[in-house]
Amino acid sequence: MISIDSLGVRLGRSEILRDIDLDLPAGVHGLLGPNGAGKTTLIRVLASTLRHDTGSVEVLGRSYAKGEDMRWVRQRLGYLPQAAAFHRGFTAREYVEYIGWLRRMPSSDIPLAADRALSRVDLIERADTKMRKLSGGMQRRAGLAQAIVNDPQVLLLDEPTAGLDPEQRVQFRALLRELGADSCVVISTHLVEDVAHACDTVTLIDGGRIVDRSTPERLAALGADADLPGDSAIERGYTATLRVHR
Amino acid sequence: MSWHADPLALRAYAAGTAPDSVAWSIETHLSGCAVCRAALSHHLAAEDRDLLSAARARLVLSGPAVSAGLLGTVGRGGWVGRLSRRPWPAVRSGVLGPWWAWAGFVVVSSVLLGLASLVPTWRAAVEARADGLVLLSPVLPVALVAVVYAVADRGPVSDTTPRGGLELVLTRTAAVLALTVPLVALIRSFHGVPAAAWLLPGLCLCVGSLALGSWVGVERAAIAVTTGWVGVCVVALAPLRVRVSMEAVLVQAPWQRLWWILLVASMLVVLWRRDHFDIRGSLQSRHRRMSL
Amino acid sequence: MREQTDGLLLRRIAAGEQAAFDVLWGRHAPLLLLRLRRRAPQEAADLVQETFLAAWRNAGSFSGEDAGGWLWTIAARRLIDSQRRARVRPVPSAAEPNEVFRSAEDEVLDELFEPVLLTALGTLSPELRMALQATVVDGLSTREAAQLLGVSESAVKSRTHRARRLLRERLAHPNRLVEES
Repeated sequence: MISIDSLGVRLGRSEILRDIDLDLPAGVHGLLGPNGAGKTTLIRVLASTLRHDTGSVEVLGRSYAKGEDMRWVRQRLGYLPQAAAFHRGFTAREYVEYIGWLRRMPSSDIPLAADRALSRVDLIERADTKMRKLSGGMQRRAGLAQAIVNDPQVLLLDEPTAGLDPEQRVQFRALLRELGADSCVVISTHLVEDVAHACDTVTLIDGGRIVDRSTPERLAALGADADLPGDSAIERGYTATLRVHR
Repeated sequence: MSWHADPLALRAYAAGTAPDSVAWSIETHLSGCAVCRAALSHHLAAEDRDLLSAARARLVLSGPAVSAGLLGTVGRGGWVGRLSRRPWPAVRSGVLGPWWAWAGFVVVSSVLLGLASLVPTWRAAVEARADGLVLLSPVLPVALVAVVYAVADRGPVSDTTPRGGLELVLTRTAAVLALTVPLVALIRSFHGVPAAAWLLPGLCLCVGSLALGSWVGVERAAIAVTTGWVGVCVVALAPLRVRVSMEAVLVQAPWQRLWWILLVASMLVVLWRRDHFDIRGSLQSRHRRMSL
Repeated sequence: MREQTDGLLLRRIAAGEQAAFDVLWGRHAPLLLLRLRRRAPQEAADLVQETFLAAWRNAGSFSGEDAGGWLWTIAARRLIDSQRRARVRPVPSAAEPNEVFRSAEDEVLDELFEPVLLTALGTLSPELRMALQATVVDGLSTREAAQLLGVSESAVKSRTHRARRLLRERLAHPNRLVEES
């Protein structure tokens, strides 16, 4: 569903991303890497809000080169950015409805779809509270509701579990697995546990390049040796792989 | 409706023994037929009746059913009812920002324009009276654009939506013009100043700031144009030796042609860069505060 | 309240009237329960509750006379979500529902109702029937049907295609059906 070929993004003279090749079918895919590795940049290119300098991006069979193709894809896209930013006067429900409208959903479908999205993220009880009065974890859930209101075929999440407590994270990952059944979910994170419990594939990014393409199981297998740095098998596998490629 | 479901079929359906073809026919028909639905209730097994009563008893109907909408127009027909039903309140709020920003703008700009009409120029190359009202009128739409962009939704998510780029910009601008054009025309006619003469420069400033905004962001562009124009007006109103009066610039024929050219050029730029209102060519800072 | 349309009831529900809600429940809950039970026996009662709660919250967005289709749309989507959740977090299923006992009367019923269609449908495999049910009867889109059944969209398309083709053939030549059965 997502197909990236020789992607490169520059800022001035430095290359933020280079030689990115990626093919992602339906499922939950983790983009794992240290801070500054370029994960957010890649997510923003996929979200069509950042122009790439070299290479090509194809999402749902449409290239991002043409404006109308991009708008077609954006209708079927969901995006949760790292830093939540929203109109302060909104209630959670209003925020989700507004984004539904921006995604060009038929207006008569929007109220029920927003209600459904808020129920799925378990925020329906507080749906009519103003966003600024919600806790960080609830704001995050409202953000997730906005990202799924249009039942997107491609869902892009940038560090989504930051700020959630452990129990919320467990529920979040279960929801991700649900979504991954028929959509392409890409989650960028620096937390290894996110990847371990929710992802079908893991792409390691470091210094703007793809370092490895793997699965949680294989990473854990690499980390079987308890002498390597890391608190869990998969964390050990992760640090070991990064080391090898640096 | 002339056809109704056979009681035998309903009984089987209620018992759960109806085969698919019968069940499908019943389900499709009863979706729209109140008479048959009532008939089905009669055939409902006792355990199911109890099950439903228990389920109903467990339901705690809490929370607002739905907000009453503008002036209690929930459920009212016609376009007023439709526009006050969800999702339109949310859409209005997101596109235009809070109502108090608009109300505040009307009040403040009326006061400012009124005050400005009391300020004559010191030096005029043209005979007609030039005053602050004439000079400040064209900048009002741009100023409101800046206000709207400061208070309305500015999240990074809208940039990834189909409506979030040029469409959103144009919708907001149209709303701004719909308010400011009658407002300014009213104030000007109240002071005996020709109502429409400001329109061309006003539109030009507005569309020009959009065009500029396709590079630097609409909010920044609108603020820049507003402060720039106000600065020029302040200079024009000051007791200095200005060779060309500002009013001449706004009203006289040779200058009009320039305004037309600028307006058309701005429109073309906006058209040309229509895909740039929601895409960045270069990276912004991680915590950028302004989006288009 | 008896003569009021669903639309009128929902306007009162939107204003917070519980009595109107009870009338709506009485009118529609039985069908919803039975219909949902044919698709998800364990969760049917819970889904009916969820559907009506959503109806309560969103009563103001209904415009029309009869709420049957609207309520089913809500119910079908909750059903999809529930099935998706169940696939990810498998709940140990309770004992299988008992085999439905078919009486002699039910056999009579079979004879009464369009025996050709009945037999023809009966010859389709359960997968084909479920695909038809989801797309034709339940009104789901291909994508929604795929989500409900837990298969790919192309599988849904090919199954409904095949089902329709087979039905057409068997309805056109019912004598062959009799020979087969």
